[in-house]
Amino acid sequence: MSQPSRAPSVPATAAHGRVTVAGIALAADCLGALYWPAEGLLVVSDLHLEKGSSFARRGQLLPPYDTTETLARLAHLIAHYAPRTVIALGDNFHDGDGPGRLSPHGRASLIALQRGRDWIWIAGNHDPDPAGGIGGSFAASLSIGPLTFRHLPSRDAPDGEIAGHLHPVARVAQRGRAVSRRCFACDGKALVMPAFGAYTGGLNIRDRAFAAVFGARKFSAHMLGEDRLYAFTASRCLPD
Amino acid sequence: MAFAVERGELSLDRLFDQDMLGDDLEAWLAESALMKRTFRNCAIIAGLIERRYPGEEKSRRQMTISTDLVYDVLRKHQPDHLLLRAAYADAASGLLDVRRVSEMLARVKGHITHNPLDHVSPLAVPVMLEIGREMVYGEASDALLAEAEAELIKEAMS
Repeated sequence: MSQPSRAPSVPATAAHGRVTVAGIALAADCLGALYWPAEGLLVVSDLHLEKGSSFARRGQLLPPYDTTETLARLAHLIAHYAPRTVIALGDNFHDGDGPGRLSPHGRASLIALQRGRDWIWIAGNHDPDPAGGIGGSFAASLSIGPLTFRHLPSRDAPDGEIAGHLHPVARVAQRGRAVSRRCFACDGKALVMPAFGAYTGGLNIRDRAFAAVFGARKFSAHMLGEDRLYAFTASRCLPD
Repeated sequence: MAFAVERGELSLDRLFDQDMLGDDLEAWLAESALMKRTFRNCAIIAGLIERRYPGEEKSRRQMTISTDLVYDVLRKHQPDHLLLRAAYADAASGLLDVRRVSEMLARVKGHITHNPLDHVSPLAVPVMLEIGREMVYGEASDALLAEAEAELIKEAMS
């Protein structure tokens, strides 16, 4: 055995499941994005671009490929859905200086993805201010029809709210083994997006933070699989 | 499997052929829990991440990085990275001595006798204890999710 083999690349098709938020039918993609067919809108959240380089600046030399990888996955989604509009739902960069650290190749990739469509950067807690050199337009939140897109989920989230920030992950046991996956947390009224970034961690949906969002309402974890989503009531999922 | 061997549908000689140690083993190893654990260890030794101790204050979402994620990204973008080579060497010789397995396979070739037993053999105990301990990655874990989901649906409908 000489050296590890190259990992397989992103699959040829875009596998997805369906979720409903405030009566709107959305495609929930297995890569962790939402697509609203009627509006031609693609939503991704918590890209945390340049997280690798952010850690590197603080002395932890992570391989700096996370931006490339994240943008490659996003390119795959955009190629498949050909959206009219893309919303990046906050924490788009790991820190406010992230845009400045983009490689020329990364910046060019990003600009290429924005060509011919609207691109909206929603402000996150990691990247609260608009940045230069990354195209698109900036907003604190955005409402389209019954849906409102914002970074931080509200306490007792109102109908139609789609937010990020929490990086939901669900854990399910079967045959004595536990499987953890990123998931969409949704109760039909509001939804919390999984984190899209290649180096992003996750928070278990049994954490208090999710109870604060959904209040007493039952919600489900739609876990990301290879070619479909797997749905479980949150209370049936395991804590960490 | 025992029935398949008895009926002649499954050839033990073919199953235990030395050629399993080539591409098949590499493909399995690359995705395995063993490999990711080994990579994590190399990453800790290299100072890339800190070792986490039990009882430590629960790390915030963005303060730590999962080495599994780093492993996946590295495999794709720089497969000859030093850490990957080190992890591979460790996995191949440290925990999974390929050379010795190869020699054993050569030794037993053509001499394998299949003996169906009534009870679990004491020699099988170490392997039996491993069941359920290894984390499952890839296709198998999707199958587990499908099974769990189906069971809950059945429960809900009964």
